[in-house]
Amino acid sequence: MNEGFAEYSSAGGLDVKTDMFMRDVAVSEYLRGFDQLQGYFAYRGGQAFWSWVEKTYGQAKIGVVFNALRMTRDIDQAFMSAFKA
Amino acid sequence: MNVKDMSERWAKEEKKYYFPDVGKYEYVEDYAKRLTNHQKDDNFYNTSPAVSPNGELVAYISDKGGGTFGVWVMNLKTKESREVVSSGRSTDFEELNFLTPGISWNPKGTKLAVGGKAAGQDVIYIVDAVSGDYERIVPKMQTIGGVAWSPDGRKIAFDADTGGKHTDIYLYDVFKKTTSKLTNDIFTDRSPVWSPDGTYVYFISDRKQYLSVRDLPSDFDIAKHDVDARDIYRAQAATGEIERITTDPDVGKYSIAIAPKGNTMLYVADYNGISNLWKMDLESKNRAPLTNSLHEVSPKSVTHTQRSLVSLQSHQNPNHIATATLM
Repeated sequence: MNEGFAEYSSAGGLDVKTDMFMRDVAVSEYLRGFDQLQGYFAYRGGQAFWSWVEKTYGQAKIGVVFNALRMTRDIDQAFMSAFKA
Repeated sequence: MNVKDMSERWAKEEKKYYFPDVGKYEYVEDYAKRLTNHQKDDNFYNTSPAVSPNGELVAYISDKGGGTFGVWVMNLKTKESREVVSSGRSTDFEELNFLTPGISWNPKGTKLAVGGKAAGQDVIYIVDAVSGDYERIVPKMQTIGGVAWSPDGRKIAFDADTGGKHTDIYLYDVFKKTTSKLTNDIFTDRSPVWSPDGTYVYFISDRKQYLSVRDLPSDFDIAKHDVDARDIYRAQAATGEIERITTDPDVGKYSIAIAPKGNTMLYVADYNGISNLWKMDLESKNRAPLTNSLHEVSPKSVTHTQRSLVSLQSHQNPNHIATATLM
């Protein structure tokens, strides 16, 4: 997800290449979730995830996630804190 | 919501977002004939297809030869493929440039030009399409991208960078064994292809309206230039004079092919957010889509037969190669 955040930050969101990649992964019924975010998928999938967070919750939520992660040093706790129900 | 719950929600939301596209766009198999099958061959990469001048063969790069990348040639009638040459097995044929690939046939259809790596620098291999014997062209470039053999067989156009800067288009004279620059400025030029009569070299560039160094304002700053701009240009092979063909730099453009009569250009562009094949009349500049693809495609070559055969590389998960008669 770190790699994806770097992609998200540098591209300013979702770019055409990642959009095409995610369309392929989704319609090929290959997409399961975060466990796939390794190798090349870590960049494309991670970028798509953070773009989705921005679209769904607003850009500020990304800062909330990272701040929670900094405080809790636990990804599960950080997500539960940032995405309450 | 913990990580597991968020993971499931994100995956579901992505599927909901993209699945309606299945009804709006076509699978590659719906409009083209699939040639490679990674599941059957148990491999991952099939890339950079190039149809031979007589339309009978397709050359491509694949890793189906035991995990190493090689140049393969398929007979389009029998669908039989054979590996012509494999990389990674000798010190002078170390690696093929499969991330920025390009294969080009010579006009007789007997040899292939393909970019690769040897002894720490990029080179162009000239490979005999039957025996696999090869020779190296070493233009002393750090990176070499697309390669294109001229219709008269005398020159090979390629994009290259001498060291971490920007790419220019170069011409290698096959007989004199000399290299010259066709473009020579601060912009990034790539993916050259020849017009069928050999008059022009078409390429993709971020140069926008700057066709010549003379056009640059005195205070021009490349750091402030939009280096993501993509338009298609052509340079006269004899003089290097550049002409702009497309004028929508915000639309991504990825590869070019010129139809046999020279009056129609095929190119991949993402006008609708998906890389599709488009055609443009080079006189009127009118354009129209040739595909309505669900997946990204790249045309790599057009045959010089009466009915144009386009070899497509689909980036469907993972890559595969197809051909389509589209014009």
